[in-house]
Amino acid sequence: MSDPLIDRYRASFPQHPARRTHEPLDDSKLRKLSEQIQWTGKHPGTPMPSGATVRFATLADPQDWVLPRQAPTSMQQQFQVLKRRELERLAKIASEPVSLQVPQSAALPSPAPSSMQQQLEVLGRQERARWDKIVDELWRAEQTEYDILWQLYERMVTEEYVQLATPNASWSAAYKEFEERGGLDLYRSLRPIYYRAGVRQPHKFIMQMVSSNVRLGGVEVRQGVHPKFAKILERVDRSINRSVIAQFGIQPVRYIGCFRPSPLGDRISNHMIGAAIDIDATIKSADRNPHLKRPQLEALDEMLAFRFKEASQNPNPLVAPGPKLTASGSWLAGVPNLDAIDRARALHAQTVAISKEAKAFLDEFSINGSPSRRVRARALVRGAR
Amino acid sequence: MNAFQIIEKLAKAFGGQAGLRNVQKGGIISIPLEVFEALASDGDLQSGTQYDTSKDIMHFEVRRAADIIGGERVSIARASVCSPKPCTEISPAETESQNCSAAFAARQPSRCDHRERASVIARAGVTAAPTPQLSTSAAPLDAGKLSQVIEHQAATLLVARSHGAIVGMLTLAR
Repeated sequence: MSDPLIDRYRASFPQHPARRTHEPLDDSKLRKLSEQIQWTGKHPGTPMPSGATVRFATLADPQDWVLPRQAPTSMQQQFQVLKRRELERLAKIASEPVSLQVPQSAALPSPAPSSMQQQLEVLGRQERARWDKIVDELWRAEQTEYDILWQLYERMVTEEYVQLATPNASWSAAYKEFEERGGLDLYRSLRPIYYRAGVRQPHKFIMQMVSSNVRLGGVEVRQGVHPKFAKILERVDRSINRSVIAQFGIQPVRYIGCFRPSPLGDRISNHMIGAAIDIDATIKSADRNPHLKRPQLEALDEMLAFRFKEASQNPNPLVAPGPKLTASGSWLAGVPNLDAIDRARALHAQTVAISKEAKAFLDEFSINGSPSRRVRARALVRGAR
Repeated sequence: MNAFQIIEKLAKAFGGQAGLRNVQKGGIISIPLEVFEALASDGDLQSGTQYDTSKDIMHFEVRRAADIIGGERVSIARASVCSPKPCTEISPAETESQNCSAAFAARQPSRCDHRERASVIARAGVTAAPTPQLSTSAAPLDAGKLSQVIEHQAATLLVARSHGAIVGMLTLAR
């Protein structure tokens, strides 16, 4: 699978006449930069200075290794081998003919240098200055290529989002979610998260989301669903025991949402790939299926402990005492050997039991979410004691 | 803690009086058993009530996101991190974090053990295929030998996958 950013970069040379004078980045560097930009969603920064030493650089080719037939047996011998090689290298350099071109324009310092050594130092400085200029130009040219690659990435992301915005497309519901939550900026921030999760072209992935004909329990699943997940939901929908629902006239659910462009921190969520549903989550007047996090679980556990204590102190002779419920921790920890259906029933039963306890507690001690007079009075009495 | 303090704590946790009023009115679940059961008992789905650290009652999701995303990249999965305890004792959250080599662990936790996992890898043919390239005399690993490697406390087996298929393995010993 080709990388669209690399394709765009390569296409920029024939497309723009001015680019013909530019030196393209080599393939290896281009691949790394493309991966870096798409992985982070950030500008790749500046090229490494040409004089910098790279640690863990590529090892020399094995053919170039020159090793003695037998390994030296001691540090002393190793040192002697290295010393001999260094002397051989220096002798080779010394034997090479010197062809030093002295430029006519070389401005010699005034007064004239007193020795040959000083003349050589001056020439060396001039040569270094010339090379530094060339290296600077090369470095700036590379920096320009980095900037161009980044601009191409930004343009690519914008064009991807424009493709998502196609009116009346089958993925319109998914696009609408982006529009409502932040538009292009949101897509730009989420693209690297998709990329890191293995979705190389997020816009094409999102364009797979279907937004019609996916139903569960008689209710349309909204906001877009991935086709693979839609098949799972169809299977689940077929397995729902409709006769019970029809018999008792239960309204199964009111709203089911699927695709939602919101990550889990910096990780991809199942909603982002259209592979998770939330049931009755967006009905604000009766938000009855909450996501219970630590504070809610702790508060519920306090309430459950209170209810259990009250029930054990004042037992009802007509009702068998129930087990002590807890909201925190695994709800299946005590019953690990259940089959799939029993496990599902146990989870539902636990939720319903906690729900009933919460309602009963609030009915007894609260009016519209605030403590009732009886509770206030009891608290005051206890405080007075 | 008395009822007054508990109500205060509940109100704080559920977003004030309005949130608590909703709980008082409708409880914390509106999903009928039939719908919940059909969703939570499906082998490819899991309920948000199965999380250990939170309980997302409204939420049902696919067990393995990789099944939806597909395999564009070679992913490295640690296969032996679960060796200290049988797979049946691993919670769904742990299974997810380990990204166990066999999709087995997530799909059929009751039937999964290390030997079976090893046999899944052995059946994939990856253990037999590269052995002749590495050694002319060593016999290819069978499921039993591979199982010994995976079960050993000192060994960590890394499995490389491409498009879901196992394409390579690496054993690290510590």
